[in-house]
Amino acid sequence: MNEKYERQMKKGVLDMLVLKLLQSEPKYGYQIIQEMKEKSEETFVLKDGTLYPILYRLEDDKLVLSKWSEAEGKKVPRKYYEITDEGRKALGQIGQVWLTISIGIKKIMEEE
Amino acid sequence: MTKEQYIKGIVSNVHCSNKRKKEIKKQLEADIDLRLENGESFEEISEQMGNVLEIAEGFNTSMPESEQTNYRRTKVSRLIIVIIVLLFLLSCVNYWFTAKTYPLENSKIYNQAEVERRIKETVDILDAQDYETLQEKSSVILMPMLTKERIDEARLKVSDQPFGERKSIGEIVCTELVQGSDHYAVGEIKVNYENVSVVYRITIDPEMKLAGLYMR
Repeated sequence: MNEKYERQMKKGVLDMLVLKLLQSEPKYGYQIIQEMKEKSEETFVLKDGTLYPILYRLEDDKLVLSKWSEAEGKKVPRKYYEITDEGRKALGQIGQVWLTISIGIKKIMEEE
Repeated sequence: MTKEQYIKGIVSNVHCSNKRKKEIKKQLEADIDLRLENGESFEEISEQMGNVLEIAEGFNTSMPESEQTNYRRTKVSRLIIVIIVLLFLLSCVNYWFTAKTYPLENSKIYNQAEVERRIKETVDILDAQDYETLQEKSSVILMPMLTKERIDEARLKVSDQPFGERKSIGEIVCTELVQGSDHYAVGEIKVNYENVSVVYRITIDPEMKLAGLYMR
């Protein structure tokens, strides 16, 4: 399949998927990449260069907050991202938009 | 490539503020260290993550608008600073090379009385048309130009008739001319001849040799 089109289609939903993954609990970058890969059964395999700018943008928009964990002995400190109340609200709205778009797409694609 | 080189390569190619670059560096280090802790090798990690330019490009295309604006502003600011510094340096160089004049009495190199004496002596030699002596008392650069033919040519430009007998000689006005690291004594003297008045501008070098001759 043409990778360019696949990449474009996926790009549009990444913000929503990242917010969804953060809905349950705060997570760090690598954890988000791993979960997205596993839960989507490898449909979404994000690279660091794609994920972090999304997180920066969500943080600039105040939809997520970030915080470094305390260094514990030799354990590597991690930067955790947590969804905010505004982020939960935005996720709900984006989810509705996604449903509407999916229905519209389905109607066109199923046409003979 | 080491982990440090890999991260440095990525960060140096990301177009954002320095604050954000430090953040990115710290996050990449943490991510890579975490994966190393999980037993992956650095080679496996870098292969999964992608090459340095790919990752940087990923950051650049997805960076928030505010970061991209800041980066462009920083670039422009740096360029302006470089231009200002260059202009300043150019003006310093220009100032250094531009000729400046100072009163000769304040000179640390020239004795005013000596200079005036040499200037008057030069006028006497010119009036006597003693070109050989004139050349002997000149700098090496000026010497070839002080021939009878060239001086006669210069005289013709001042007056198409012979100057005639000298009638009087005026006061000498002297200054010190500084250009770069070169110092010269320059004197102007007005001489009245039978048929014309001539102003000579005579330049003397630190060896008290004739370095310039101009008449009008």
